Amino acid sequence: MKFGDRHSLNTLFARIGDDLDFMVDCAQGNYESLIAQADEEEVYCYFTENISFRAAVLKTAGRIMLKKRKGRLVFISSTAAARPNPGQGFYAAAKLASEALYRNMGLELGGRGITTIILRPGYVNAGRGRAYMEEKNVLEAVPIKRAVTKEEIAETVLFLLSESAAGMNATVITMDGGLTYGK
Amino acid sequence: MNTFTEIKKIIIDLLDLEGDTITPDTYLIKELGAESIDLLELAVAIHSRFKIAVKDDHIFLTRFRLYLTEAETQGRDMAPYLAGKYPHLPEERIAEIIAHISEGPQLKIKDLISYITYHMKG
Repeated sequence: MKFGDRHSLNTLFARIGDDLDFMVDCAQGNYESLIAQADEEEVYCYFTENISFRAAVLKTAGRIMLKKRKGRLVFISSTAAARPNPGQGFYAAAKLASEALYRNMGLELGGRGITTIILRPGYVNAGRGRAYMEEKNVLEAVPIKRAVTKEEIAETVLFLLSESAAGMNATVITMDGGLTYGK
Repeated sequence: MNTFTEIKKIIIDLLDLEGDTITPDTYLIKELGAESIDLLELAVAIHSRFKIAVKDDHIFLTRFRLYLTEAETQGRDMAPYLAGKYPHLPEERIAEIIAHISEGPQLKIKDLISYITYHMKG
């Protein structure tokens, strides 16, 4: 699948068909560059793939869910949206813009049974983050002195999809061991 | 069931209306009070029922006023310009909308029927 490409959008939803109850969105390209150093063309593509394409996915998913007047959408963001490092400006901008899309969706369609929630994990011991954590002793700054595990993330996502969490709509939950509160 | 009867059923259902007062000449926004979220649901229901691609801006004539201004700024004749934008609407309907545009949203049930009929043929 190629993000930013309309054909990919059709392929994705052709597989889903007309029935969609939940969507968990953890898709995000990585692009690290200082703002004053970034290639304009790459920036343009990055935002198309990670913001505009996401808006198209949300539109399509929302319209499917509207038929049943029920649906739950979870967006996995990142604490980098709140506290980026130098070089993460584009990543943070895309996350913040995407968070806003999800929040507005919950604002607009909440009355029709379609709600949204955003989870911002901090350092997670998996994927892109692992190498970074090993390289720079970052966990010292985390009040719980450890990374969040992928199991914890998965269980939280399941909770967010459950009826018990239905009152949480159009908002952001942070799961970072306390990292972003402190200095 | 003809298109009007089906559309009427969808609208009564979506807007929680009672009675049988809807005609093809009923104003969707001005009379029935449809809001943007209702129009969104209506577009979804039309797509689902009639299996046609629905462009919300297009079927609900959202940009009608904008196109009028465009025609004016470019010094073009309004009616033909609008006919080019909304090929599903009959000429006399376009003239009628232009004549009454200052009286609030002109969208009628019959405009939806025109859109559906036009796109089902295409």
